[in-house]
Amino acid sequence: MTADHQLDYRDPEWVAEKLGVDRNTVYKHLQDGTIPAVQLGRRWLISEGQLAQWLATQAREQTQARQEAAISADRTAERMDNFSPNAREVVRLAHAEARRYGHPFLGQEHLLLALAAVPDSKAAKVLVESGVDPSRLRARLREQVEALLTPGTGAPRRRLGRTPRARKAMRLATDSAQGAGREQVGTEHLLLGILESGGGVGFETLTGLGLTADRVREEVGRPAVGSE
Amino acid sequence: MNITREDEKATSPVGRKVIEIVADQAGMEPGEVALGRRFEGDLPLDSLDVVEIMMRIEEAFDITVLDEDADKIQTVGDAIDYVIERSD
Repeated sequence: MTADHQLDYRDPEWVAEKLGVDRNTVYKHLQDGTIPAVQLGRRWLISEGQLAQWLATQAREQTQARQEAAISADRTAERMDNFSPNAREVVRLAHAEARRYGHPFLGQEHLLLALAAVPDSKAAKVLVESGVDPSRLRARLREQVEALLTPGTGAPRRRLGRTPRARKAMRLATDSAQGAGREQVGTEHLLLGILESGGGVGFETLTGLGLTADRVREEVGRPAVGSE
Repeated sequence: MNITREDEKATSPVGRKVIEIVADQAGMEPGEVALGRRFEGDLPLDSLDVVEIMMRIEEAFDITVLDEDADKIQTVGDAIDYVIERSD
């Protein structure tokens, strides 16, 4: 590469504009040593050629990491045989939501975003029957997530741990399914688990929309509707 | 495979740490976690708990647990063997 020997140096402002990111973001990555650059006195010099190379490497590595993370999440969801097919789909989608935001953990908010996204799920039906529009819930959750949680940067982790509250909600979901004599945990149990957990972004958002654990239990407990 | 005797395996530094991680994840006492216990089925753990256990093992021993390997690690003893193999 001859690019290394060319004087193709630019300043952080040029990089920010060219990449369409905030200049503070550029400075942060310069300080962190993420973006290759030279500092002369107080000025930062970024080689256009090196930047392009670096971006290409990043794109390759991040894409591979995303693929691995997605495959890993699918494998995990597939193995969850005590979950109904829809509940497994929720686990898969929840991982995808966490990846979308670059979050290093699986939280209640990701589970709930996923729950509200599977339209023919029992949870979605329970939401509708309780007067909560799933798309409104998703919009509300996205607002909450964007306001409360900082997005991650770079490649996602191949495996995600759950937040203690997501874990609690999932345990409670398993408990209610077992308590009801169900062989599999359904999406409605996951919804109930979040409401019974007593705290977390998912819990707060649902409560804010007027939903209670009792209300969901009432819907879930109706003899006419089976667990999915 | 290491031909370590079961009790030696459980009391080795690796064994103790793995058992500690599993017990904590399952909400049990380390003494209750026998080596032959399967993560899913014998212990109150789900697939995501197992994922978390693998993550904690990776962190504790500074190793990488591949997905293909993770599928084969089904008991507490398997996990200890795997860590010992990988750390050699």
